[in-house]
Amino acid sequence: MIPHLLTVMAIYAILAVSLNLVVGLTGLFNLGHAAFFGIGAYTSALLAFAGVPYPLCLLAAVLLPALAGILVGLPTLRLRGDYLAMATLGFGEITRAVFRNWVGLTRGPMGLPGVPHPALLGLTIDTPGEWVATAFAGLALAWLVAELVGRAPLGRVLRAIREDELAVQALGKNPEPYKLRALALGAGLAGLGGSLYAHYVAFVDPTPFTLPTTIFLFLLIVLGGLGNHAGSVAAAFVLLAARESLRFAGLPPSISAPLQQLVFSLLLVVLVIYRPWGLLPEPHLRSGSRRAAG
Amino acid sequence: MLRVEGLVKTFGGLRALDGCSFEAAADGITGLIGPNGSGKSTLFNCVTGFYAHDAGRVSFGGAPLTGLPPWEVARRGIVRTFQQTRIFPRLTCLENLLVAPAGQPGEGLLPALVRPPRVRRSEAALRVRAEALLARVELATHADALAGSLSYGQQKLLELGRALMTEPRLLLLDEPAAGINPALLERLVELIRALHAEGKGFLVVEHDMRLVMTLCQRVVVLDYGQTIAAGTPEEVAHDPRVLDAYLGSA
Repeated sequence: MIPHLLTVMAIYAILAVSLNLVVGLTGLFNLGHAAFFGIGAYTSALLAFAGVPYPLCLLAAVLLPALAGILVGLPTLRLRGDYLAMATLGFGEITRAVFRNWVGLTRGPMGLPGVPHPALLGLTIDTPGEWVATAFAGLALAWLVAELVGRAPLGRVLRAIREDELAVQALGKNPEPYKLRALALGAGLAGLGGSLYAHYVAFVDPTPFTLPTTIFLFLLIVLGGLGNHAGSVAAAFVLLAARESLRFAGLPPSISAPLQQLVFSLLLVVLVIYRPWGLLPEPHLRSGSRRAAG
Repeated sequence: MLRVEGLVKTFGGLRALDGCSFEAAADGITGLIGPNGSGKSTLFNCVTGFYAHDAGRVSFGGAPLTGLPPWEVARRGIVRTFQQTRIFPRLTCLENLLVAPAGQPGEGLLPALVRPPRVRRSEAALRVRAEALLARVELATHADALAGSLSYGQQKLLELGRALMTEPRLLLLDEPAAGINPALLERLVELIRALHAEGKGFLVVEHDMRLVMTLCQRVVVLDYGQTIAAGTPEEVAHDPRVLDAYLGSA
């Protein structure tokens, strides 16, 4: 029970961190994030069924969503705010339709059962303990990437784009290539989460890769503070623990599932009204005389 | 030399710029004045690529700017500030400056992740320049403060400092004095004069006539989207067309 919860927490934390790079750091209102999660999951599962070794499945599960992110971004990133949200929402719906209807590849709503356990470095990951370790290793990787990008000059430009895109243009920078980088990176990390998810649950069907997942991820990153990776991770842990504990409340699933959606949606609405930037502030880097001297 | 020839920009039926022409020396301080609605801000937006104009030509140093996007105009050395300041509120003052220069090595995805030595060297060099510029705009003690916490006047100075980080040749300042207290304004004038002495050019939209008359070497007057006068501050101040535009004829 606990190892299962920890593994799921880590996977959701990866997804939250990946969305935070796009929404929190760069300010792109991306409502299609779950699609990248799904593309990663299906890519990894299908390649594994074809006998491809897991490291390559994982690599493809990162690169293909990143590529999809660039393809979606090219025509849509010129759109601002609401329009980008609509375009990414549409992309999410199209992806869902493909997962459901390309039966020859995905088996549609029947899903793909029996996704093999991954083998990494000669070790097959199949015990709950190994899964916790693997999921946390994935989270550590996602966290590291997000931190490095956030602190690099790239992260600085991304935050500047979030704050005022016209001012960025006036300084001699075309925002589009930077936004593409953010979108590709976020999509790639979501694909990492997708691969871990597919092989852990050992079953892939279209349901998890839809709008409710994206909305749940929005709740996580708003709760944890936009632009604050640690906050995203903490929010994922707290909210999933809360969700799991709801199961012990003794309510029948027909009530508890909608109730959970209701509570989470309400929480998101309240947060956006009263704390639009989340509970935790975005950490900002102190310049410090030490670094100035070096 | 910034050269504007026969610039036309219409918004629906309104001709905001109606064949406006003038020149501004790349190493001078040129004032751009005119009554409200005479087209000054539209002109700034057309020159810097934020608006596409309908007719006419803009060139800088002989090279055409027409049709270039804003970032390309900025890269050719023409950098603007905005009437309503557009700083990055949730970046620190130092970061506001550090982010400005184009083509930094640490802006790529891979260099951001592996941070090779050239990124660290570039960052160290930028930091030295940014700290020096922050000191010049009187914000050295605010380096680590979020830019959004600054007063309005300080934000204007920060915006100027940020523009200077790009090493522009010609700065387009849109109402730099508006909302600045007199003490800070004096510092701003000193700063503009010092930068001019270092070879930077300025094109300044301003309503404060006293400032225009003391600061600018040449003044261009716009009215109804056309250039109605250009010359030294004295010439312009006594030009009947200018008096007419400002005071109205009986």
